[in-house]
Amino acid sequence: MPTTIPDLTAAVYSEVADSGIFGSGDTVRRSWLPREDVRDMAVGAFLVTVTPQGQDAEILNRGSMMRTVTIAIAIQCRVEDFGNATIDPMVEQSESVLAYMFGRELTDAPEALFLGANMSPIMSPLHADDFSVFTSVVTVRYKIAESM
Amino acid sequence: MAEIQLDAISWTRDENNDFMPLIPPKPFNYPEVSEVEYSIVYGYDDQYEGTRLPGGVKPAVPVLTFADNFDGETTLVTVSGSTAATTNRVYAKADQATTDPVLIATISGDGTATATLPNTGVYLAYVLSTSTGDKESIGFAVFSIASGSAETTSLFESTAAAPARNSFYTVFGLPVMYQRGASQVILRAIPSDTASKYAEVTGFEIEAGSKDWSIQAGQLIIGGVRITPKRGDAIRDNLGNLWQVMPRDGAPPYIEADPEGVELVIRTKQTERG
Repeated sequence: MPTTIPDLTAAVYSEVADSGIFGSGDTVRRSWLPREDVRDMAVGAFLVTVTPQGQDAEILNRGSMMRTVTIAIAIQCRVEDFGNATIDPMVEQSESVLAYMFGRELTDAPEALFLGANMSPIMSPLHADDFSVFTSVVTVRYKIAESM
Repeated sequence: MAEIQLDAISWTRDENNDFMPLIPPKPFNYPEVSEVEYSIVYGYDDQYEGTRLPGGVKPAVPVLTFADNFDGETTLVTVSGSTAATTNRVYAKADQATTDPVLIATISGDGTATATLPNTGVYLAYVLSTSTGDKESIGFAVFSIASGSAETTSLFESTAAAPARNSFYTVFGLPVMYQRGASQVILRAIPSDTASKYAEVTGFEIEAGSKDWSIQAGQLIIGGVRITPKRGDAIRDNLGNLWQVMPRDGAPPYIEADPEGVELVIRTKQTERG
């Protein structure tokens, strides 16, 4: 049974949820519709959302293919100011997610091979200015070889 | 899941002044008193669930009504719909005045009191409902003090007697509380319709209710100083909703609605439901 995109997303979600990076007041979730209302966000509590962002497929040889799946992890938090003292720890929290996931074998999808990660935006000015919400997005890429 | 009532019987403070249960069967992360919130689960294994704030929950938003005695100075103040055992302090100031509201009545729970005002005219009022634990809710009202009989102070008459723009605010403006930190001022503001705004960043969307408030700039006085709106300020409306002052689409959080800046349009987004 090939690893599906939902399988891989769930596996990434489990890793982030079990990482210990986020506290009991924070929320880690999987969502296909990553939309949040500011009124439902508590100031200072992280909302972490894992959602798939894309997949590429290539032929490896006559009998097999390789899929590259990109999963995005949004780290969001409502804040009351955007001073360095507030934002620096939040960016460091996002960096912790990237560092934790970097090179990590997924417990629930060990056949997926870690390929790389990035962090963009480090902080979204759009969400910050118009909604007083810190948003940082870490994306992780995995490749899966399968026979056709 | 076992529940423990977070009241004075089951809970106490330890030597560090932390909030803790009297019968802890297991190691437990005791929350600070100020951190205990309704329906939040505390502890390592979901063993405890907070069922009420220590010393009281946030009180209900009280309804404030007035009945003019038509003696030119007193009115009957009625507070209803408040949470039992709350202290309800009623403050008022003359409409269009730039002075701070003054305490005109204190009512325990629901009840009535007679308040004396210095002059006839229209007043803006709010009631601060406080429970033990310093949790507060606010209700608003507009009332008038007149002499003679009820017929002499009809809405038509009071509107026609006021300068044109002031009367516009008197008729269409809602009493709201403008807040900056711990300071606040009650004033009239004319709200726009509520629009839904959202912004998407790499697939992740944030949305919020958005509303503009027209105010008279001369009413925005806190601590005797005239201020201009800025990010972090907030407007509490008469339904208990909180609207935070925020820029929109990169534009400043307020604009002057006329060449002289007599009126301001303040841009807000809703961050709390009433």
